[in-house]
Amino acid sequence: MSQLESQQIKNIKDRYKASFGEKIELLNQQRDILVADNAASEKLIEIIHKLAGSSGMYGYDDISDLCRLIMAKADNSDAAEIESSMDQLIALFEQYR
Amino acid sequence: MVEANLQQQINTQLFEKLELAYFCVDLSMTIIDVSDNVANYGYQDVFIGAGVDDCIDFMLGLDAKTELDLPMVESPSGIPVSVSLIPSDACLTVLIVNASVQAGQRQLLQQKANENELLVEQQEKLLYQLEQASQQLERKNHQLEEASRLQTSFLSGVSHEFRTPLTSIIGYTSLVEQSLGEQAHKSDNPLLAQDANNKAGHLRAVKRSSKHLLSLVENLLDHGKLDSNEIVFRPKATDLVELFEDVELLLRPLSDSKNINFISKLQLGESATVVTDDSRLRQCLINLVGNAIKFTDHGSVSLAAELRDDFLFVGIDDTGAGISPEDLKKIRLPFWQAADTGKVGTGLGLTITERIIELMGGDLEISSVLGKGTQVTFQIPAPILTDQVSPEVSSSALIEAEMSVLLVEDDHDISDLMAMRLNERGIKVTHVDNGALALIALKSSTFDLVLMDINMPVMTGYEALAALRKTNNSTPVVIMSASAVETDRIKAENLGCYDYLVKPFDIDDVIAMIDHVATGVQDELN
Repeated sequence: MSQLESQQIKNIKDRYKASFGEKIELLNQQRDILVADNAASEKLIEIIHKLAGSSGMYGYDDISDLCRLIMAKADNSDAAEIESSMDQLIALFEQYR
Repeated sequence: MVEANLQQQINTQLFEKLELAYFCVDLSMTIIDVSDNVANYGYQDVFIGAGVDDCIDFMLGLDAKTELDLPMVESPSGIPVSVSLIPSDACLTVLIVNASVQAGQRQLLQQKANENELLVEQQEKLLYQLEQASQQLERKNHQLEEASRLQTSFLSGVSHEFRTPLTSIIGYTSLVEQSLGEQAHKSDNPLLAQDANNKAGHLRAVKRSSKHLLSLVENLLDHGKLDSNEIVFRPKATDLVELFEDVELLLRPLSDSKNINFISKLQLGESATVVTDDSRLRQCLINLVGNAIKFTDHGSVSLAAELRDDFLFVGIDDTGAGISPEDLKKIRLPFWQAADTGKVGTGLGLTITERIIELMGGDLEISSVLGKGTQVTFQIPAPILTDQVSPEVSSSALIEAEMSVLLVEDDHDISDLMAMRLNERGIKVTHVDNGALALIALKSSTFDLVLMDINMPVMTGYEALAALRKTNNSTPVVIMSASAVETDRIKAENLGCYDYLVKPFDIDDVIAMIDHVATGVQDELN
């Protein structure tokens, strides 16, 4: 029973990991918008907010922490700083992919 | 003959010892008799035939019928006298007695009374000063408490801010280190491989320092939580053998690197599964054994544990530098560190450990001999789990209570994982992905608990919670959010949430919360 449950959890974790490509694409889009607008969009903040929660729940603590950092920067940092953190975030996703 | 003698003695007593003087006046206030010693009191010109008003000042204005006692009169000689006027049919006899003794006593009494009055006054003044000082002390105490609270809050805030970038530093360092390792491995050029290896070595040093910094920051955070009573204990079924083996596995490399003998003496029996907060117990053991290794340069460190009468007894002995009696008194103070050890730390490890042990219902003792070593012992309640079904202690209560949870979450990555984990624990989960659907579900069904996200389309968690409370539905609602901002938590609390969980959270936190509600449900059923 417990093995089956572990397998189910494993499957769902694999599914999450498999979505990294999609997430990277989404983050790249948002990064481009950020560069163009020179400001963090609401959509970007929403995506990062969601990733902060879900990545941590799946055990990717460093991704979650970085998302939190971006959330904090979104309020009072310039776009270049956020962009730099976005690059780091994309790199982390790439690494785990 | 006898009477004559007695009279003689009385006279001696009266005239010599009491210094009695007298005079008699007739009805016209003329002196008709007077003793010789009247002059001793300074009454001059007192003779038979003289008018008493002319020579005795205290007789002025009195008549021969006056019966009067004047207990204290100052005579012209300055000697205090007591005067008695005894009238009779034909004359008035006036007796004068030396009252120096009485005057002295009276003065003494007066002095005592004055002194008493002064003492009372001083006492009142002191009491007032004491009250003032006490009020001032209370004010200072409040100020200190406030300052301490602010300090703790500041430290916690700063530590929290440090933790995020530090975690990131460690993560990135690991990635680069790994990549350098691969480079070195794959490179055909020995010089490049050597260079990559060197760089990886430097990165390992960065990672070690970062990890050390992270552990300091975590200590500060724990200290803050303990100081403000925010620390939460989660007792669950714990295999002690496994836990002690983990601790040994973690710390043995450290003792090996210092050539110290690590001795493990475990008497935990066969069924060493107890109910305790495993992560806190592990933290205490790592701290105490880690300290013992840190302060021991030769000899051994031994870790002994015994499970007896639902208590876990632990002893850590080392042959290290030991602690002087003076330092032993201060060792439990937060931020205190011995000056001459040359070891780095926050000085919080022992403070935190002792406080955790206390909060777990235990007690920690330290004894040490300078130059010989230190012994640390503690015991905590550890009830043996006799009917173990699953290591998740909370499930039985949950299954018995058949808990039903409404999960309101628009992020399917999270909702799927949570639903699966909760299902595994026998909890029935109904999932909707916005606040509006949650309200509809709560109208048509009954749930024991609602787990609700904040940022959702159609209707946010805040809006749904506010609307739910207006319908007088009292189902406990736990808000889940990735926001750790205090104002968000306060907003949720003001709307009447049961609790506020910051994502990511451990699923055990949710289980503990549901278990808490389940216990209430079971109590109601019983």
